[in-house]
Amino acid sequence: MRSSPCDLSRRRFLGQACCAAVGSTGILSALGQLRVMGAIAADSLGTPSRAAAVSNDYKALVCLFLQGGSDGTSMLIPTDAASYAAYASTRGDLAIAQSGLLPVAPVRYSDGRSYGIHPEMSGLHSLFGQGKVALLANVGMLVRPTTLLDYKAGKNLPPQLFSHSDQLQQWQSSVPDKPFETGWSGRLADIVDAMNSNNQVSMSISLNGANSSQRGKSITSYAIGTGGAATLPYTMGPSNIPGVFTARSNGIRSLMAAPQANALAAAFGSITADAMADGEYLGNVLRTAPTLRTSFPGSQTAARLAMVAKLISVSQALGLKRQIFFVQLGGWDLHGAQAETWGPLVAELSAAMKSFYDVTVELGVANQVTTFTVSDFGRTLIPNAGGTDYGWGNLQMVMGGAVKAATSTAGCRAWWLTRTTTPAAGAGFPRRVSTNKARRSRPGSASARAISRPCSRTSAASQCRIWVSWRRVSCIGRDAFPG
Amino acid sequence: MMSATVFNFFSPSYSPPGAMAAAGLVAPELELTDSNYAIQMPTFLARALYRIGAELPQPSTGPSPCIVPDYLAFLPNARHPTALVDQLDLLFCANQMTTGTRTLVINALNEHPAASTDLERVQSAIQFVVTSPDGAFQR
Repeated sequence: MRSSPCDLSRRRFLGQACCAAVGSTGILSALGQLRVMGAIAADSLGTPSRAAAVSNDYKALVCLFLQGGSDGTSMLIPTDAASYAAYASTRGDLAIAQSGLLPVAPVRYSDGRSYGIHPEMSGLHSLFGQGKVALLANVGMLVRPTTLLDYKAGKNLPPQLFSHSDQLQQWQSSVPDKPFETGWSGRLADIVDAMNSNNQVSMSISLNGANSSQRGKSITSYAIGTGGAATLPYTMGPSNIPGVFTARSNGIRSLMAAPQANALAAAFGSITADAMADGEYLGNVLRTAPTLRTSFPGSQTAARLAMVAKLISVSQALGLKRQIFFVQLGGWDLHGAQAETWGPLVAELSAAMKSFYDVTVELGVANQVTTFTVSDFGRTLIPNAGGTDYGWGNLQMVMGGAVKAATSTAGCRAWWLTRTTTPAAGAGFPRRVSTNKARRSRPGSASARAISRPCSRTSAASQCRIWVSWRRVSCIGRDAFPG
Repeated sequence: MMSATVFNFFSPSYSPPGAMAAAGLVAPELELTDSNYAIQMPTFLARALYRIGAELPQPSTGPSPCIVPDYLAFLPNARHPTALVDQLDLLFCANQMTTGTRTLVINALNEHPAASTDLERVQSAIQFVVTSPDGAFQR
């Protein structure tokens, strides 16, 4: 993303976002400044290729939640002879044939290995080749910097490490050691909503219903379907008497708008009233959306991302300069039949993401829209009964024109090699750093390692096309990749 | 209730943004009540009420396997909103409908054009009551 005028690091920004709801004013005044500067920047920048309907200083985040725990080990596969042999022998029936792997250039990365991408991920592979996708290997939840010894001793670990519901909430809150209150993108929305000139439709829109990620203190996510905004069926029934539909519509509106003494009834009424008003308003705006030329595949994920694109195309009409979208693709929790099920699943993901990137190019917002994946956790390297079990660190992807993908490994290597000290846990926010996979069934074994590299450099991910913790790989090298 | 996952319906710590969050109150059941659900559930109820859609087939003979509303008991009160609302209050709100809701439902029924049929008035009244916050909550 473009550097912000007020020089906020991601970590500082999100760390302060935690406190914003209880009255931190520093970041809010900085954002007020940003809003003014954004308005100035919009005047001085050039016009995007198409769809001048989208503001020049518009930005959006799209969270693609891979529900169930995706097997990152099947996305990015080592291809140098020794590593592949070790991978294949460990993965057994689930090993992806080397011949079909899509080659990744440059040939070798900071860990000295070469890699290939799963054959069904041709869309993402092509974007990776253009530097529009970054792959972040071995990312997982940490409570604090954690060593292998800590892991073996059961110290400093995130609560309920191999539990779906806990881990996905920890990913979404980014505060793994505290009871869930808000999601990080909800906290983000609480703050950056100040940049939006209209609050009729929430800046947080979900294509998959309510979710922990978008839950803020003041901003509620707005859920819609792939068909767009839904409104109440006032015109139901066979009546052809003039005035009946109007009486029904007015009646329901007045019931939802009425004050309620009971807190639950009040919350229900306001949710429904907001949904009715937002649905009608958004429906009217969506009818003005330009027809998109980019074709999307027939999957549900593609349909959801196509609706996200449509919403981006009307962002100016909605008065929104910042939007956060949530899209979910389930089915990754493959304890069996992974060999035949995983390929079509990742093919759906890859094709949908490729179409979505293409449509952001069509709309002239490729540099302003960043898409990222999140999942409960990674999965075990060693298969079990045709599937895999719950792990920890995992591969995630970041996609968009603003992804600064390096063309060599120099930056990546330099960053890892120059990291010699453990930084203080900045602003109480020591999250999202690398961990090793851990095997659920054999937590005490030598292979169940948790190696972490505390992440203090905010730009680290954007410097590397493949962000690999060399210590993790070397650890696996001794362990699972004996070659 | 259209749970999103197999891992239960809602989190015990869910607190809806706004007044309840500000008051430190939790309402797990509202976690599913997002803006999409808030439209889908009243839509489902209305489709049953007005018998719309292929999921509610009317068999040519015999009993229907689906929801078939029988409005006979309400039709006598179709043009007596207060008595009609009393009937529905007992059935859908356990006789605990708030005064505010009662007034609004009666007003909305009185707003119906004189030409509207008895059945239309009864259907409207039921739609108002089951869709209202009082009808949605069991107390």
